[in-house]
Amino acid sequence: MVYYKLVFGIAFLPIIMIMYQLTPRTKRWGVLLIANIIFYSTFSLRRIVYPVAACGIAYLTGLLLEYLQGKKNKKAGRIVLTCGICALLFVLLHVKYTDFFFDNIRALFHLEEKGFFAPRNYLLPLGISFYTMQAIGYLADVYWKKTGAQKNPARLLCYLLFFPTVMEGPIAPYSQMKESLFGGASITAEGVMAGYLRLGWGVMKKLVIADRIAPAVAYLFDEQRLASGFGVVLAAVLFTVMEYMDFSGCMDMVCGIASIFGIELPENFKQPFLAKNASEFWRRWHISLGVWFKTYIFYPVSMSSMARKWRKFSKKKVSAHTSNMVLSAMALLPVWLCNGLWHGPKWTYVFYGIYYFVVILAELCLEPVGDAMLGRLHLQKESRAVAAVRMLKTWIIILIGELLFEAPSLQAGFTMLGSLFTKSSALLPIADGSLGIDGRDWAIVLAGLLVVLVVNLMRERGRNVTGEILRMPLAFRWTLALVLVCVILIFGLYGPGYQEVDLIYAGF
Amino acid sequence: MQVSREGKKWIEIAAFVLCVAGLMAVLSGVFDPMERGLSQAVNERDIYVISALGEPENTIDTAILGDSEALVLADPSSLGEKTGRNVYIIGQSGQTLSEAYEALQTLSEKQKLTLVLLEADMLADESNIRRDLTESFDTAAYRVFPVLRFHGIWKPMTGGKMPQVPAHERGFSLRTEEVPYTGGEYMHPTDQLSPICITSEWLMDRIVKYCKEKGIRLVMVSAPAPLHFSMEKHNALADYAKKRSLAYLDLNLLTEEIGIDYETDMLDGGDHVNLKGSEKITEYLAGYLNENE
Repeated sequence: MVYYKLVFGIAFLPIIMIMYQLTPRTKRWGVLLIANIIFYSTFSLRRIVYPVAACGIAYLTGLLLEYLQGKKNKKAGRIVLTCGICALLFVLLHVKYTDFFFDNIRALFHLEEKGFFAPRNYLLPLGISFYTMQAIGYLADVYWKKTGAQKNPARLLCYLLFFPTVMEGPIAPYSQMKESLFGGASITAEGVMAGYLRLGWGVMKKLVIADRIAPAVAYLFDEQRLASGFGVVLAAVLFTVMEYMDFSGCMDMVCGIASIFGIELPENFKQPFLAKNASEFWRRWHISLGVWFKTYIFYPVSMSSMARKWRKFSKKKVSAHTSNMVLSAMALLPVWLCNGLWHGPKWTYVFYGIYYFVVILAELCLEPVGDAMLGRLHLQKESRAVAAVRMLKTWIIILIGELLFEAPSLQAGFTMLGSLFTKSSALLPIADGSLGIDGRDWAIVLAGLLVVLVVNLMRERGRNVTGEILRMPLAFRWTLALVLVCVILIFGLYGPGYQEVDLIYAGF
Repeated sequence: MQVSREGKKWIEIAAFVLCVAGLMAVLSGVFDPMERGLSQAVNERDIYVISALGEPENTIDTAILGDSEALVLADPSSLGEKTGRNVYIIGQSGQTLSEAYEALQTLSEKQKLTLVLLEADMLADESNIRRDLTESFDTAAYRVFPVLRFHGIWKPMTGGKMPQVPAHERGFSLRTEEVPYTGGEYMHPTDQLSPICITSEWLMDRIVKYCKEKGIRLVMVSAPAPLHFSMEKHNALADYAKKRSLAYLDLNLLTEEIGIDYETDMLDGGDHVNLKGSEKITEYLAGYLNENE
């Protein structure tokens, strides 16, 4: 049962809403906990043991940390925190990366024939990458006294397993969520309207746009007939659009569902394609992941004793710019390695992380040069023309990244990139259905993208689109909502005969 | 009586839900493949059921239900000739028990069925409560609002290309490919019963009850499928049939009698029979039906 399924929207969610509203305020989180367990068990009841175990580790470690804080025993606190994080990471690494690790060992030492550590083919527990990060974040926050330890393990489980966020995030900090999650705010009519409107918007992005592009993406990235020339550009553009519509669509659904229960989740996307450099792109794309890495890896590394030593050492030996560059590199490398690996056990993902590490570092290095050039040309950095060029440059960076990310292998990715320049670019038969989608599909996709673009531009200007729609006269808002329903009903890819396309980030 | 602002909003939500239901009912009329003359434009899985619905009223008296096994089980025209019946296969690739029930109900509205042969794979296959319930919910929703099922015909409705539909004769897929089964004996004697999910049993009971109410004779059939059938499955299905006083015809135990040759009569290495196998099964079924009229 996923958020865009009929059974979720018209049966599961309304039943939970009614039960939630009928329960006394202080116990409403219990209804959410039951909903979380039911939702999780629709994927696998057996594998719920993983998040329960993660919750147990986080719960006990949190209590111990608080106890040691009371005793003012910092050293023991650090050891307990390290142990707690290691235990959480052990489960994640074991389930997600064991096969990857031993596959590489076997390949490196030619041990395939000896059957050395045969692949285990673990089935990933739903949301393991998300709830593990939330649990680690919770422990660090308790350690840093940003929040107190949760005394009730069921409440902690409710947070880690929260059904809207367990599949794809956003990775919401405990300190940010606890009040609204356990506050038991009443469901309001306006909340339901806003929530369902956003849920519908997300479903439209997923079922009408993303899933419609999916066959073309599968065709273009097929290892047997890797795209070349123009096909490579098309592959990169289509995958980027599909991934954005799929992931941001899911986030719209998730935020809409949570808001019905009065829970405001952090936004995960902020018009990423309007970014003017790679760093800004990552402040607009999968924001909660970026914030998590910044809070729990970048800052701790930047403040580490090694970083302090470097600052002291470099003060008199190198320029401030160089010193900062080295420091940034020191903190960014683990961030981007983890970012790449977080997506899954594949070399393409690892390279994706390294790629952004290099690009962002290069941007930092070249920033003074760029500024100087603009000065010489008497151009304002914030002028529209310069902004457009910078945006275009960022798009190219994004597209190359996404191409390498989705390629079946690193070698295939580079082959595709190479063929862009070496093979003659031939226009693919786009409209005749050869890519798995025909002219009508393209029309639907382009119309959908245009609407999404308009809404995104409105959001970029700080407008609350959902709020504005709800404040419109009844006839207008009903018309808009009914049009959205019609578009999903008619043009959505669902029902018998359609190959369901799984949510991309639910697999990470 | 004064209604609060919040109350008015809840009334608005209720009115909107009704409006959406009305819209779906209207769209269901618009996207009716039969009305639009687009019965060949529905998705591949539904083509056989929709084709059967397109037959003139009261011309079908025997239906074969089931998944892909049913689609190649027997030639309806030949079976009809041999038994004096009007046979149609209303199977679907991967048909579920909810879909079979829905297809049976829909067809019965137009046809006076007297006999249903149900390929029992659906009941014996591994299932779970979660899957059964979700599929039942979806199938019920498709029945209430057919737009959820047939919305895909918007393309041919707007002048787009008609999708290529598989060739079939009264729901029968003529498949001549030959991939022999080489796995040897698979019906090893045992008293063990493979498990049948309680929800699957409940869904099957609905079909049994419906047939009883409508005076339709229901016969459970298992097609020869050495790749995935077993004696455990046979025992479970035979047990189910016995408890409901249903006839159960397991062709896996009758292959010698039917004359099935695993070298030449298999379509895909033991999962389905091909045309040669179907012809033999048709002959056998005709004899069985004539004897047990």
